[in-house]
Amino acid sequence: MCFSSSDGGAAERARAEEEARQGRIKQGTAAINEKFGEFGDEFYAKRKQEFADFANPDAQRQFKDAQGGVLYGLARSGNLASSERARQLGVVDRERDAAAMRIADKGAEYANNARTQVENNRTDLINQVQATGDATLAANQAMNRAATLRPSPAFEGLGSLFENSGNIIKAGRQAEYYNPGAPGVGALFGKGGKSVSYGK
Amino acid sequence: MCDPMTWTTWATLAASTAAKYAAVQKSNSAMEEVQSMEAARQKKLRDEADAALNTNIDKSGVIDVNTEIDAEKNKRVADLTNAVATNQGGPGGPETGLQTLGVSANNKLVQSDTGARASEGAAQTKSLANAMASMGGFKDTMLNTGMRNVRGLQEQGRLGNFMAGSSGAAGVENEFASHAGDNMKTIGDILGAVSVLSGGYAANGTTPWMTATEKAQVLADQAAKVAAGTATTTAGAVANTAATTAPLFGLFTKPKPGPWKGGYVMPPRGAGPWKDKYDF
Repeated sequence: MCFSSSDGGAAERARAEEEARQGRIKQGTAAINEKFGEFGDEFYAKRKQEFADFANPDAQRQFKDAQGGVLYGLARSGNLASSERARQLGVVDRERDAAAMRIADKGAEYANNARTQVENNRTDLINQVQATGDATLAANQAMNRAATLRPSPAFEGLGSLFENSGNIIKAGRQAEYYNPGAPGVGALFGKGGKSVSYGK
Repeated sequence: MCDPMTWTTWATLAASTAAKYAAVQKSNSAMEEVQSMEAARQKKLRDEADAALNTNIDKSGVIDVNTEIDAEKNKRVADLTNAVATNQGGPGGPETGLQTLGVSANNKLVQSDTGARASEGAAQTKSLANAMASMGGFKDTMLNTGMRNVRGLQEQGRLGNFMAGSSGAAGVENEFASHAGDNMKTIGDILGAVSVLSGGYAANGTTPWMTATEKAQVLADQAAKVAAGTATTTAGAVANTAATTAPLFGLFTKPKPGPWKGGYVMPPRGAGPWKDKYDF
């Protein structure tokens, strides 16, 4: 036919290109989600545990110091077998429990920060693939971003966890300093006046 | 009776009109099909967007949010309680060996006091855990909600992107569809041209298959007829004009006596039906 209304397939090509573009966006999004699938509950629980592993030794050291300080103070003042012992050790125990909870809470915060970072990166990549329709680039970038998100950040310590216990210890030492002859002071070491002995 | 060229003119004119009409119909139909398909695509995407939005809204109601906060809080409480329990006496707990120092000397009063302090401490710890879990649970819920919203927004963005892209492709398809009747239109145009041509022949009384001499003869005959027709018409027109204008000339001639002959004579005074009514 010498005349024809054909557009040279432009319409079909436009539709096919659009469908291909949509397919690439879906494919790219799926690739990103698959790559970021590793950041599930397990990953965040691990992040939390990593912080606990980081903070617990320091908390335990502080606890030992506080408990020892209080007990030795009580012993020096002759109050080892007293209600004051129950009170002061009760403070140390409460601070130990509070420290354990602070560590758990801070660990959860680190886990939530990681979730936010992961989600931000995922969002960035998905926006990118929607704009470019380049599934391969998206998959590669997802791999790179995932690699940077995997390691733990530099954790910060929680500082002093036993301040109340420390104050008790400090107060005992000040008492010893100003009144070395007070009853019970230096009981364990034989210094001072009235001492209390155990096992009698 | 019509000659073949007149028939041809009518036939091609009708066919041309029909072809052009069919061309318009075909274009309209193709464009309608494109639009209907695109409308279906857009509806599918819109339905997906509505479903995504509704899912998100369903999880954002007050009751749902409160339920989620409670669930997150309970998780936190369990977590904190577990951390305390592990720290107190579990494998990772800070057993110092010092806690037994002097315990043997404690009398019943001190033991009872120690127990009371421990209970008090446990109650305080529980209260603190609850408070921390409440705040943490709220934060967790807000984070979950934020993430759900971001994902919902992404999904809406993707669907909007697809809708826009599909619409763009439909524009190209529509443009093509508007030319769907071009073949028929071309046929209509050709038939129209044929009708004009054949109309010319019909008007002249000639045909395309006549020889030049025959055509010249026909044209000469027609010219003669036209000339004769013009003469007849001119003579008739002159006679007609004369007949029409003669009475006018008569107005200016002297009227002959007698009623209604050669003109109108004013009746004498007192005569006629109006008699003396008027005095001229």
